[in-house]
Amino acid sequence: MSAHVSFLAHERFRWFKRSGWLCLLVIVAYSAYAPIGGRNGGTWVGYGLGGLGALIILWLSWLGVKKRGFAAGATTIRGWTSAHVYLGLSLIVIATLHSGFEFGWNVHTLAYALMMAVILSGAFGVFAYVRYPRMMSENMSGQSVAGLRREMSELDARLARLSQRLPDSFADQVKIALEARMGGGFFQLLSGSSRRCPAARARDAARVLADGLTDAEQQASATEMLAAFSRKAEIAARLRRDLSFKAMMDVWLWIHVPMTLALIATLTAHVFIVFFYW
Amino acid sequence: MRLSLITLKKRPDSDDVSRRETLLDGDSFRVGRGSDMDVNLPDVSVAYHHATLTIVPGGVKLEGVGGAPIEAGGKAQADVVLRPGETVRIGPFEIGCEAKPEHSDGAVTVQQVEVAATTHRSPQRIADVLPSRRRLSWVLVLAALVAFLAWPLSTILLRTAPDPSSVVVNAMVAPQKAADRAGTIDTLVAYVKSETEGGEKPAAPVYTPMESWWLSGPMSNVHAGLAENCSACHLRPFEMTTNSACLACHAETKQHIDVASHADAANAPELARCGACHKEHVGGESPIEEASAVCTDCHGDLKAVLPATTLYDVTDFALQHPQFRPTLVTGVGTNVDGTLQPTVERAPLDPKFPLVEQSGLKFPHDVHLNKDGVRGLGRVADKTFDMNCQTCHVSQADGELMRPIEMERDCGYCHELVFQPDNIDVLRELPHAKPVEVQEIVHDYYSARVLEGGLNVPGAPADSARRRPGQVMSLAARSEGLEWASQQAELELKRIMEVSLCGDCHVAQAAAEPDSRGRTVWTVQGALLQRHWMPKAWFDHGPHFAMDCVSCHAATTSKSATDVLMPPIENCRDCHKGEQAGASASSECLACHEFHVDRLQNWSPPHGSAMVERRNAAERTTVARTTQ
Repeated sequence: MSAHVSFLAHERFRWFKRSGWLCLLVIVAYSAYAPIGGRNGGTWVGYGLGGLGALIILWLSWLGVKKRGFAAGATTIRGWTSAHVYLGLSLIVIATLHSGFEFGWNVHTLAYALMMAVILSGAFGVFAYVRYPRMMSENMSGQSVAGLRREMSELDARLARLSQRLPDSFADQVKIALEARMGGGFFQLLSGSSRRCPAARARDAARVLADGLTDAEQQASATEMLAAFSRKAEIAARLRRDLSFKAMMDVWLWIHVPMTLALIATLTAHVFIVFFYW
Repeated sequence: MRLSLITLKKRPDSDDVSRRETLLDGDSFRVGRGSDMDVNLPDVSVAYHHATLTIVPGGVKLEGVGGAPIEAGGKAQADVVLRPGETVRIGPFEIGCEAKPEHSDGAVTVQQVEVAATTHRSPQRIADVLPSRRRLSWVLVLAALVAFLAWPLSTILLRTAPDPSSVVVNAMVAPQKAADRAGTIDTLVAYVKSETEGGEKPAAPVYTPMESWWLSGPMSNVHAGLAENCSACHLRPFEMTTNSACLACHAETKQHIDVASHADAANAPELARCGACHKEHVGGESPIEEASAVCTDCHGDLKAVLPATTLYDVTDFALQHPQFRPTLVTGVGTNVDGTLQPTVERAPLDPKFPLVEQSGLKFPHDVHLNKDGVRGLGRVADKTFDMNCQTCHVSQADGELMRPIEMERDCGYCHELVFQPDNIDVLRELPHAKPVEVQEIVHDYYSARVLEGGLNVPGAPADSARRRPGQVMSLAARSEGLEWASQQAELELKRIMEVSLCGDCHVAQAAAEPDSRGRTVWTVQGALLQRHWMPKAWFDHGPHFAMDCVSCHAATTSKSATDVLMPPIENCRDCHKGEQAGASASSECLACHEFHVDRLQNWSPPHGSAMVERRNAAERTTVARTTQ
């Protein structure tokens, strides 16, 4: 077995198979039982599906907490993650059949909607964890963030030094390039866009300025400066992309986690209400 | 002129400042970022040639080049004269003036006082720009619990349970408008007021808007008025709705069987709940479950739950349902007192073994439904009538039963009970269904004719025939005449009873022994017309209006009233193809059978098997009533 096995394929898709069988069982139970008044959560199969769903929800939530604290090896964490993902997806079938496809503007459907929000955000998380690590390493092409940041400070120093040999108009561009930032607000972090990168703008402006130079020594300095601008723009774009990948791998948790807690609260209300007014 | 340029440099991690002095010669000195400047200030915020420095008496003067700013005392200035001890700022550099040293004409210090900011540190992680997940979670949890649990629960627990009678009233009253009712906050304010100022405590709010979020599904239309009155049905928390809640309104509901014994029989106590069959919160018109499964769950294999049952199994109308078994009179006996005692039985409609009904009526349907018309009788003997089913059979308002046949209305137009011997003008109408009176009338007629004389009938006693009016009749002649009259009446009655009038439609029997007056005692069997052939089912003629009567009731070919013209189940199955068939007329149990039958008792003391007896009695009563 290779050293790296995706959590999705853990133990030859053990949890995929188990969840699949569970869904099949649930579908058969739902189809076979045709109670008076139609299939819904208030029938015996309905209660069974609801109880099963609630147990899975609580267990998966507990896993989410527990997983972080596992001191055990990678295999165990991978196994739990695999179970978390596949059982979580099976909840779509279990809870939908529990509802008997009856939805309305009520706390019961709210619990369902919250659960779906948790599952879908989780599904995005799976997508992110499958997709972005590879893109991140491709993006960094073997270099480290710290290394790129160090190189960028060196470039900044070089630009400052070069500006001493060039007219003020170049210094203005250096000033602009120094403004180049990685990260920022929510949308900037997520998009990782370098469309208005100051370093790139400075490079373009400096290229025009350099054409106007006559002094050979200054031309040489300007050429050197252009190269530094270009390199800086490139590094900045990479770092931004890196941040955006990290942000994508994180952002779904802001739906997944709070919605899970909201789901547990609403689920508690749901269970209480249906038996309070039995 | 000679300038001492003193470069100050603060050592890292200490307060020590190093001084390095450079001597510059010239009239003026260029200050700026450029590497060829006299005073080099290496920072991009400084212009290439930022300022020009000259030595002036008592200090130095800095003049900005091309408007480049020099910051003195927090203000940007174009030129500044510095006295010893004074400083200005150009970019991150602080330029100071010192007292004129001996070896030069003036001295300035240059110190970089702040490190040029390289890159600003922007938020790098999503966690830096979004609120904490933990806090967000708590907010959502609390919001959900307060809004969906605590708030509605507070009003539910505060208010007192309504008494059942008020529920009935409330169910019929439209709910108060949301704007008109006291909300939770109004109530709390009023409550605090009553605590502090005294006075009556406010009633708990009847309903909070959030309670509507508790509804697990839409109310059925008939119960829509109860949507805001949860406790009308949910009497106690954590208890399934009980029958008492339903019966608060539905006390008049009739029952088909004793529900309690039903539940006992199936060994399923939950079946005794109204809610076992009636599911609310699933919308629809009413919580009446149409699907046959309600019944066939047990009735599909009833012996499994009730081995002693005599009922047939039913799984589906088209697939497994017993043949129709009409209730009919299979025989007629006579009681000791002479009244008729019909035998009423249920028998299956098997086309191979046609049922024979002993209603006692002689009635050929085919003659009365003759395509060419029906010849009249008696005074309308010269006319022909077009008759059809509706001429006699008219559907009742409920669509289920036909109006009972009445001889005078439905038959009497042709079948006049007229007694009119050949040679008299005045006819006598005989009463229907009163054979004794008929006998009296006929006897009276002949006796009277004999006694009044002038009787022109062959074979009549001479005295009765030829006696002139006013002549007194001798006792002997009178006796002879009455004897003759009695014989004539008996003859005439025999004809009436057996042939002409009664006998046309009924079977009349002469008793073996004459009565005390020597007259024959005739018994005419009344028609025991069946009024409700299949009392265990409910058939509505209304929706079947487009069909010909004869498509189910084969009347045109029926030569005798002993034929049972009820259609067998196969007729119905042509259209009612079963619940599982796609294109079919309704075939659920409830299409024909009611669970709560109006004819039966209120939801009252259990009657179980006694109900069958009662029903049989009811059927007999019906038959007996039509007999009279």
